[in-house]
Amino acid sequence: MSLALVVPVRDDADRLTTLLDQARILETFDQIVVVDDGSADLLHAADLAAAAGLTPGAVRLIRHSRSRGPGAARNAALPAVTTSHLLFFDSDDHLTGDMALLWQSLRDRDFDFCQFRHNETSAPGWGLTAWDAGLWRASGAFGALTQLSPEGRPWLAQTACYPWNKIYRTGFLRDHAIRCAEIPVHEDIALHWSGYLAARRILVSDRICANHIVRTDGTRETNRRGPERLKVFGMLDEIAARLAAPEGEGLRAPFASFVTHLFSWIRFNLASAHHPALEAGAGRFLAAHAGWLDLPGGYRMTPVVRARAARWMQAAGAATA
Amino acid sequence: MLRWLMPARRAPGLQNLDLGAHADVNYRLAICRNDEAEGEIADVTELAAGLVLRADPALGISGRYASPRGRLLEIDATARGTGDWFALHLPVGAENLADQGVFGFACRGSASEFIPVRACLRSGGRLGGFSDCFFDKHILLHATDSSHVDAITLQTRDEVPQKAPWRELVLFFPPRRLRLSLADLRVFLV
Repeated sequence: MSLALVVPVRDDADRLTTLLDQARILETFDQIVVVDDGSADLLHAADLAAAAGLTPGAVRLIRHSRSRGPGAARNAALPAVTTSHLLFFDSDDHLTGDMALLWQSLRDRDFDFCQFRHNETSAPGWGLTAWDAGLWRASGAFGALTQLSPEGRPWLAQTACYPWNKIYRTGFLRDHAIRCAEIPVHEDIALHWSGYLAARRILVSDRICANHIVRTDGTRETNRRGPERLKVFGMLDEIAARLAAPEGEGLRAPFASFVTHLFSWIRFNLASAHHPALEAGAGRFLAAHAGWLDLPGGYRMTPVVRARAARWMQAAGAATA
Repeated sequence: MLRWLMPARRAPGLQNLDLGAHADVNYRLAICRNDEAEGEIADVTELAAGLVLRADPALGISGRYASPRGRLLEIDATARGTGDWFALHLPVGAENLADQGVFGFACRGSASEFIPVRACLRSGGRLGGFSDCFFDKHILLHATDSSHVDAITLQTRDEVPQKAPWRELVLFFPPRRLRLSLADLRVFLV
């Protein structure tokens, strides 16, 4: 088994160098693939390797002449990966020492992906947000490495859709054509939910292997407040279509819960001028897939989800009136 | 004239090779953290480096333990019956505590649900038997990884004889179904 580190980057060479230096120290990665998503200053693989103390040729660099977003960058990297497994990671986040320990324990284990915990710097203490921590508790996942039970899967699927909190089997992504959406933000939702839909065997670890540096200074992709956030609906429709297949039944209600939270999160991060368009889009999406919200019992959040969905559809009615 | 044979005046401690009575126990714990192990839990379960899980046979304890790399111990245990104890025993040496002031430990862990753990310093008696000196605070393990530190002031606790043929740090878990992770544990003697 071998592991690649895949990093999309745009105008963030200094932080990328810090990350690559961490990767060198951990001695965990057999391949490093960097996708320069149209940086103003051209990156050079040899310079990156030298700055991080890596051997020349250690960094495989792919370049987009203009920015196509982190999702397109990750997708472009996938054909270049030569290892059995890969970790997507962001240039401005940090690896922790537990990443090396997790990878050691994963060797010779059969899995499609392994989701691990991370530290969210916007949350108090060292660890997940309270919301994600609650989902982990509900999932029953506990310990340094365990297999996620079928009962736990609907809960953990609802955690934040980060691309960098999972080690994927490369063949799993390729065989199921699992990719990021090629949109400016929320691109990782497709990767996350498609993975949960297709995975045969999911491992989970409560090791904190990544430190997610939440920046609120408006300089990062995730700080966008413009109408590009509304491109999320096309991707959500595609996931919904896949969930409509029989194998998606167990994840429909969790996905309905997830999207109603997502809409609220988008509104919080969206300029108010675009709120009517968001409400109209959310209402259309929920109306198109309303059947999901009438699932029979057995998933205890359904009434809550139904109430949230009703509020969004009501807002959509007001926005289009 | 023979000044060069005289010990140089140095800062206190520079020539001190006394690693303390807690060096041995912390070495045992380091071995456990650095190695990987797993197995079934029974009434007496010998872990690495002298650590032992002991359960009241009446509990009918079963389950599995694991020592993942970089962590001390994970326990997933079920009790079929009703019993009085289930505990991790850690030999600490420190037979002579005459010159020591404080015995303590620091640990970090979590559990799938709230689990109170009580710790004691157990001292063997010269004629057999033992005496337990419990730490004042409970360790409260819960879903969020958390730290705990506690210490005993030795001169104020009659339950701790100055000299004993053996001593153990004992962590008592609730004698029931439990899932917990003891990620780290270190002992200090001051």
